[in-house]
This record gives sequence, structure tokens and C-alpha cells, in this order.
Amino acid sequence: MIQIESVSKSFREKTVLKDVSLTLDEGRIYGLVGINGAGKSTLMRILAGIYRPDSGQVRIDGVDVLSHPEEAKRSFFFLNDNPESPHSWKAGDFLSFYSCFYPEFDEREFERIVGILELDVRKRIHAFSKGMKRQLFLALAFASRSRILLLDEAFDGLDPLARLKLKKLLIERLSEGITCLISSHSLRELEDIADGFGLLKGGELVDFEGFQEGRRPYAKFQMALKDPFDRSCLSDLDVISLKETGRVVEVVLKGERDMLRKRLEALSPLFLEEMEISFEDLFLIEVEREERK
Amino acid sequence: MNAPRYFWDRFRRLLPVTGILTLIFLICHLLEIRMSSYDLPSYGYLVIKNVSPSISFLTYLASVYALFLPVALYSYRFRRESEDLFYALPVDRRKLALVHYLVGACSVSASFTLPYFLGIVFRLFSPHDALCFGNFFSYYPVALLLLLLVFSMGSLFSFLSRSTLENVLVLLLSQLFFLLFSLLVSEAFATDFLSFVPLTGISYVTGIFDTLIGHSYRGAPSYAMAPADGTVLDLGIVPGNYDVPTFVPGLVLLVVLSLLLIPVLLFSVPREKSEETGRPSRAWWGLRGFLPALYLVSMALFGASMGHQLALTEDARWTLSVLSVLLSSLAYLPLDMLRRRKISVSVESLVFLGVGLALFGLSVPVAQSTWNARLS
Repeated sequence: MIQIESVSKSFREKTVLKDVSLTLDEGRIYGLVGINGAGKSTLMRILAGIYRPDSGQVRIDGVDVLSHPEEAKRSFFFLNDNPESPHSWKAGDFLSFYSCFYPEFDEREFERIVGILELDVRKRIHAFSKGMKRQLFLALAFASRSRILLLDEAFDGLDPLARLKLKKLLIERLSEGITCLISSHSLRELEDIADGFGLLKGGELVDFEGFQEGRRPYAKFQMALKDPFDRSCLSDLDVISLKETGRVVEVVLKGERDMLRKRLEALSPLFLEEMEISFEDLFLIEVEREERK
Repeated sequence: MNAPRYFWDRFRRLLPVTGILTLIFLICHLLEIRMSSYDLPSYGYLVIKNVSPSISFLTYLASVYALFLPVALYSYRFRRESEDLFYALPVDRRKLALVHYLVGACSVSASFTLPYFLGIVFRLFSPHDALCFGNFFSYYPVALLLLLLVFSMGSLFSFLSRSTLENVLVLLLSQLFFLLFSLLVSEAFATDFLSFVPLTGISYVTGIFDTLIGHSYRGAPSYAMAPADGTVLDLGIVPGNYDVPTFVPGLVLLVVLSLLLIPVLLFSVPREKSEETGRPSRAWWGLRGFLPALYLVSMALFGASMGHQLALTEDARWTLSVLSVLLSSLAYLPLDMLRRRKISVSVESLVFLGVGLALFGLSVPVAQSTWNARLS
């Protein structure tokens, strides 16, 4: 279980995280999104015990990461956004390296995953592309048998086939009860595997808990009207975005969708249809709102 | 963490470097023995002995290795990506640093010990020399302690730095610690501070000082660790007696300092801020405060000491001290600007500058020897 309690972090004058809290139970895959510089990697590093928060606490399975790093870190594997290592190392050298730190490191599992991902472990790491390096570290992460995976920009630089393989591996592990926190810009990939999302914006975490179960804070409607559209008729609603094409209006509103539908039906449209709102739409909506502020 | 296993893993990776360096050190060492055996100083031998008159070339080379090895050992701290890799591991940062320290200490010790003892075997078959095993065996622990002290200092100063460039600058400046150490020891024990200065001959800067002082003290009673007849120590094989009253306090201080630096290092590890990686360090006890102060104090003391040796008047000594500080400050400014990346220097120009300084450093003792020969 991951517990983040009121974590704040500033870099010199810039506040990156403001009072961020989140609790993740076992057996979940949670997606962390945000624009570049939103603080995703900083939050990940705080979780991994690399950065010290200005205030707040981070606990892994109830153990404080800062005061008991060795004990807390034993249960997770952190993969950063740009995995690097000494250039002279061969991919296979990581096996002996990580075996020193993770007592349950499974060499057979490493070989199996490396086989699935078709990586040549005899090559030196500097001969690997960015995507191959990422795949190698993902194989190490799975082979470490850690119960918690902290994957920063997990899908970055991976080709479609590798992404598919990674998703399969993650889902396979999910059945074994692992918890995974993934940050990514590939919102569609996250949507396929994550059961919860958090959006970091302006240093705060907006938790879209239950998004996959249909509990969404926004609703998107398309309607055709008899008369020219008058914007003032929606003045009492929280309009996130509005697009007019003749008398066809596409609108995103904040609120409970049944209530919103009733409210729009009161405008007597020729037709009214609720459209699917993807997580990518949601992300863009939130980012636009932040920019408008 | 399985510490023994990790130690062996790291040491195995460092083994090729250690092996190659040991071989180079051995070749240089045997050449030095050979040259000294037949009393045929070559140009290189003359230069080496002028740069570091009372320490063997092997000690000199091993000291350079000990000084700069921490840059590689702790390089994981100089890039955010590699720091992520190491600091996310389930291990306390102090344990990690300690294992790296032990690996480095073993590598430094091995690269010195093997050529040192193979040297005596080589010497046994040399018919021209008188052997003095007492000096040989007593020099070994002293030299090893010196190497470990240099290595500990290098490790500590690596933890003050946030980038490779900064680390190299810090290490060069940290050389002044030895100069200050020599000055303080000479004051505290009322001994000849020059006795300890040869130990600072691990960089060209201190090497030049060493030479200047060594020449100005030619014929002086003794170096602390050199035989009393003033002969080059040469691994203690040349018969001679140690100047015990100066030798023992120096040795005790070396031991205390070597041992003290390890807890200081371990204390500094968890205090570092990973957020600052790759940026110029803002620590007051690093390049921002302590080291510049150390630098200026050393320069002032050095100026005063030189004034004393040159038998200048008190006013002239003050002037020399002030001038030393002013000139040193001027030299320090571009270094600090480079560290803060206010100016950028290409690798080519750095190599050019390095070669220039090296040639200058080499030319000083040769010129002095030539000058002394003419005078005599």
C-alpha cells in the first residue's frame, strides 16, 4: 500500500507540489498524468525516497521511506523517466547488480521477460536505444519480484508492439497482487490498464477515482437546436468547452450527467446525444481550465 | 543489501582498471629502481625527483590515482538519472557510500602494494645496492596511510560536489589541505614544515611548491620521512635514519586524519540534496565558503612562510602574504565562474591549458636543476 500524506515540495522559489495526498491499495494500477513540468517525476522521486519532501510523509506498507529507507524500498522498484547506467555495462550485468539488493530477484523470470521482449543481454548498454533501455529496466523491475512498481514515463520510447507486451505483462502481474503507479503521457495506454487516475496540475493532485467505472466529473453532449444558439441559456452551468457548428452545439459541462441531460433537454433540442468522454479529453479539459486560471 | 556480494560485484568491475594501473605503476617503479641503482638519472627521473624529492614515483602515481578515483566511484551522484538508479535501491545511502569507499580503498592499496613488494624482489637481484629493510618496511604503512588519507579526502570532497567538473575543481583545491596541514604541523611541533611538504607533491601545483621549497632547503637537516643524510628516500632502500621526533607526530596525525575522515564522510552522505544534482553546489562548507577560505588562508600562510625562508623583513613578509592572497583570488575567480557555468570552456581548450600547465610544471624543476648546476 502506498500512502502519500500532504506532501509539498518546492525547488528554490518554484512550488512543484502543494499538499498532495493519495492512498493506493494493493492490486491496483494507478495512472499519474500531467503536462511537462507538472511534478509527476518529482512525486515519483519523493515516493522512491530520492527527494526529501518539504513537508508531509510517504509510507510504503506503513513504513516511512525517509526514516527507514532500506526497509521501505525493499518492497518497490522505481524506474525513472530516463534510465541510465554506466556505459560499459552489458545488459546482463544488471542481473548481478540488482541481485545484491533484491533478495527475491528471479533470474529465470528476467530471462523469460527478456526473451519476450527480444532483447540481447550480451550487448553493452550504450548500444541500446532509449526504448530498448526502458524495456531492459522493465524486465529488471518485473524480475525483482517487487510488490510495488513505480514506473515514471513507462511507455515513453516504446514501439507499439513493446507497449502491447508491457501491458500484457502488467496485467499478468496484477493478478499476482502487485500495485503499480505509472506516470505517462500516453493517455490512451493508461486508459487501457489503469483503474484510477490522478492529474497533477498547478502542484495539486486531482484524483479521478472511479473514472473507469463511469464516475466522471464531466459530461460531453452534442445537440441540434431549432433556433440559433444563445450562450446565455447555459449561464447557470459550469461550461468547460463549447463548440458551435451552425445550429449543432458540442458542449462539455461539469457536473452530474443525469442532471445535466435534464437541463439540456429543457432547451428542447431536435436531438441530444451524450458522447463518450475519454481520459485524454478529460486531461485536455483540465489543462485548459488551468491555463484559463 | 547483500554487502559482501555488492562489494565483490563493484570490485570485479574495477578490477580491469586496477590491474592496468598496477601494471603501469610496476613498470614505472622498476624503471625508477633500475635508474637509481645505476645512478644514471634520465631526464624523466630528474623531473620526477625534482617534483617530489622525497617520495618515490610509485607513491606519487598511486596518490594521483587515490585522489581522482572517487570521481569515478561516486560518479553516480553527478547525473540525475544514475542517482535515481542508485538511490532508489533498497539500501541506506551511507552503506552504499561505504561499500564504494571500501572498494576504492582496496583498489588503491592493491595498486600500490603489489608494485611495492615486487620492487623489493627486483631489488634483491640487483647487485649494486645496499639494502635497508627497516626503512623499506616502515615506509610502507606510512605511504599506505598517506594514500588512504588522500583517497578519504577525495571521497569527502566528491560529496561536496554536484557535478564532475565541480568535483575535479574541488579535488584540485583540496590539495591545499595538505599544504595547510604541513604548515600547522610545523607550527604545532616546532618542526621543519618542509618535512611534510613532499607529501603534497601529488599535483603540479603542490609539486611546484615542493620543488621551490625543496631547493631553498637544500642541505637542510632532514625531511621527516627521508633518511637523515638527505638522500632521496627511494623506498627506504638507501641506508639512513629517520628523524623520529618529527616522524612520529606526523604519522600519528596521518592515522587520526585518515580515520576521522570516514565518519565525516558518512555524516555528510545523508545530508546531501539529490535535487541539486548537476547544479553548482550551494553548500557553504564546499566551494562556496570553506574551500575558497582554505585556499586564501593557505596562500597567505604560504606567502608568509616563503617570506620567512627568504629572510625578508616583517613588512616585506606582509606584502608577500597580501600579494599571494590577491594573486590567488584572481586565479580563483575564473575557476569559480567556470564552476557556476558563467563561462564555458571547451574540452579542447582545457586540454590545451592542461598540457601547457604540465609543461610549465615540468620545466620549472629542470630549469632549477640547470641553474643550480651552473651555480655549483
